Amino acid sequence: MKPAVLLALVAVGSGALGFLWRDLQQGRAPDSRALGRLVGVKTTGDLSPDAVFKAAFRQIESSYYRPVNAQDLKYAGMQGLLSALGDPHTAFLPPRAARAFTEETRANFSGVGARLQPDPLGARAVSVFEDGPAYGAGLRATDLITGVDGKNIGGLAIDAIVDRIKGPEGTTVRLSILRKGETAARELTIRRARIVTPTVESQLLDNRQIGYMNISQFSEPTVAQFDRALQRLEQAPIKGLVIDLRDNPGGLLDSAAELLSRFVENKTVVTMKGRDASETVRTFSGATREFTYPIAVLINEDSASAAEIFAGCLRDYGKATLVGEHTYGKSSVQTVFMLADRSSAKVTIAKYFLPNGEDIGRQVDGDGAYVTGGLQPDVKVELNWEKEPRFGDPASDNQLAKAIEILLAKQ
Amino acid sequence: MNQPRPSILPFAVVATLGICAFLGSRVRNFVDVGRPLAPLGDRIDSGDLLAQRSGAFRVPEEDYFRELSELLRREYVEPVNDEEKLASGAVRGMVGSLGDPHSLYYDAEEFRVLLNARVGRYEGVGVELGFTGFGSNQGTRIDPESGSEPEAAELTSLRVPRLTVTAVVPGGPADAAGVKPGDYVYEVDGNWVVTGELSERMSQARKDFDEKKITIEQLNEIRREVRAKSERALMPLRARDKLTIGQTGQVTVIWERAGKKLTTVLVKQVKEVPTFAETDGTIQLRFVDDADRRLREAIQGKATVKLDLRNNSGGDFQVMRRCLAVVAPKGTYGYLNTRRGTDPIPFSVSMGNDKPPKVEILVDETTRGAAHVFAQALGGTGKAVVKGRSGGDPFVQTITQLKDGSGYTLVTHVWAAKASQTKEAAK
Repeated sequence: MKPAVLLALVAVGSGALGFLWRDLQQGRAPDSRALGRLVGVKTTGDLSPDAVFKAAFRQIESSYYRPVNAQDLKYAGMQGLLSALGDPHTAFLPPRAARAFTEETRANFSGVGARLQPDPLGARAVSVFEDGPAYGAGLRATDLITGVDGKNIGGLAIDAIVDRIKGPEGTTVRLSILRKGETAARELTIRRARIVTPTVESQLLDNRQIGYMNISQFSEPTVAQFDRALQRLEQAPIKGLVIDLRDNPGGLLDSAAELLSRFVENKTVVTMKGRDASETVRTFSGATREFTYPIAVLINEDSASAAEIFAGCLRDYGKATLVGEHTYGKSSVQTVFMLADRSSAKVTIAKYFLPNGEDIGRQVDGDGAYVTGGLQPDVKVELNWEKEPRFGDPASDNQLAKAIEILLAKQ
Repeated sequence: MNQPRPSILPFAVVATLGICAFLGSRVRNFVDVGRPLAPLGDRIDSGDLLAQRSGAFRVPEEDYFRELSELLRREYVEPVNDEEKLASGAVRGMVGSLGDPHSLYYDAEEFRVLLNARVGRYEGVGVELGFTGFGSNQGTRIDPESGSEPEAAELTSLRVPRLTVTAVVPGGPADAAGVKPGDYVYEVDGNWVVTGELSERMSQARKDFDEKKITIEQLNEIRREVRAKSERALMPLRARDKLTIGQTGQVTVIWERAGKKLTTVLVKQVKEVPTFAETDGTIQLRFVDDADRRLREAIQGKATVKLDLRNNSGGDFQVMRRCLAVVAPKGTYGYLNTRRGTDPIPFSVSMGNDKPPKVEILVDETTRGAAHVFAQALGGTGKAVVKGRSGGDPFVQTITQLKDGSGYTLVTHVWAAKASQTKEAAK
């Protein structure tokens, strides 16, 4: 071997040794990627997806220039993992949100029967259910709740306040309230009860010739409330019925199916297709009733799930005209799976299809913005916000006005 | 060439061994700049190796990937075959959760554009875009002394940063149309680029109406505008892609400068900017590749060196440090600080230029990142005369590419003239 070659070899070898000396000195395997850093970009090259995640997790946790909460970082990663499926309904739920979700889906909860919103001094009653115990004890909408059981609640988070007000059926809670125009606080003692949220509101419109019914969600009592409302509306002959499903987030599929049984007999409501099995939900027989007048259904982007199924079935079976704007596009069924640290994952396990086979699933882009999906209305009318619309008031609610116009044109 | 006598060879071998080993470790020093030197930093790349060695991870946070991806494989309505996509999604989520305009996830296309821009290859309309606080036409200004930046909350109550031109590619389509650094991207192909301004205005208008300060007509006027805008809203990162990705096609852009709108119709094209050029004795260089070698050659025998660092924002921190060593003597040029209470790392040159030339550096607001630090480091220590005020962003980033071609940047340190060891609370 020529000495020059030998010298070159030695040079390269010892250069490399020097390059990796730090690793050897610190008792580590030589860091092969240090070379990659020579060109400024690291790669995760041949790592498994699991290792890619781990490497990034550790890098961010240990090298980001600001402190990182490892748990929050993990949650963000899990949320990102699930988002990569492109399904807006598959989501990660950190422990606290996981609790809230189960509470939300449980139909019967006990409380005082009021909806609250945050206020710097405590919580403000937005609406008070007329059948609920709070209303009976004297609580009214716009009242400001400043104390619970003698303790000041100013500055507390709304969740914390609601937690204090809720409690087992039959127990009592004392609320300190301030009413507009009053200077002294009132004390109300309320006996907690099971709350049946009213889901159907109705009235006669347009010179008493049109029945209007607003279904705010599909829950257990909805069908009974619908029957009662319809009976009231039909005391005198009407020329048409508007069923308002705007802002109706859905609810129980069984309840929607039962209500559809008033319109069609023994027909498919939805077909649910999971990974391995499919199941069809049908309407009952013997529960239909005669509708001698045309029906219009109002929908918007906040009509979702059971509300879309209900509206879609009425359309597919030729029972109603859909008026308004496209619906949300919720066409799937989720289950919540608990994970090891008590957080959980809400995962889509099945999709459902309307009677005509349509998949109304919402498609979103990378930012979560709507692309396609949902039921399309037969008659598209955008809500005119400029009139400060109040749903159920044809003077300010132009979608309702259009629905009435359509019904009257069918006479 | 004479063959060396046998008696010299062993000596030559030993000498070469020593010299090259030393040089090798020096090279490694350069390479390791920007990485924490504490053992923690080495968790980064060693993957599974570490899991066995480190007992420090009490909570096996990292094992959630497996738990969750197996759950999906088992239960999700459609078969899940692409685990790489899940991993990239998880990384995207983690990086995004930092809420840091300089630590960003890039999909494969975006990442390609990012890497190309570093070496002066641009496509799209020929701009570099960054995010700045709403309402401020300045970048994230960092106080060079303390290394602290204004709280985002001071800039806006809603943290939607504005998409801002940080550099215009000389001779590119945007340059020809008169686009200037500091311009905001207001609209792209008729789509309004989202800022926090809109929801702030809406809630203010609502409040004013409730307090009877404005009429229903005035409220409706604002509502109309808000609705019209939000119906064709474009998220800032999408807008960035529309302007910086693509080699053909036309795009209509409305820019905003000092409250005025400038409408341009631009044809996308590929534009290459040399990474190193010398004109009339002024050197323009980008801190990429072998910039230090070319700089060393270019200044050979010169008593005065003029560097033009304008339009220079994507530089590599390590290359910048090597260039610093070419024109500056051995010494410490500021510190790499974190906000997590770690020891500041001196930003030092150990093998500098013993006979440094006089250095003059030309900067402006398009001098950002590594170039900004270069100017500040030399200017602040009296080793150079800096003309102009550079744009900021003294962040040391690592850039990591994932298997699917996507990647992310992560800020690991902030350069400042002085050492600081602050420790923020975790968010």
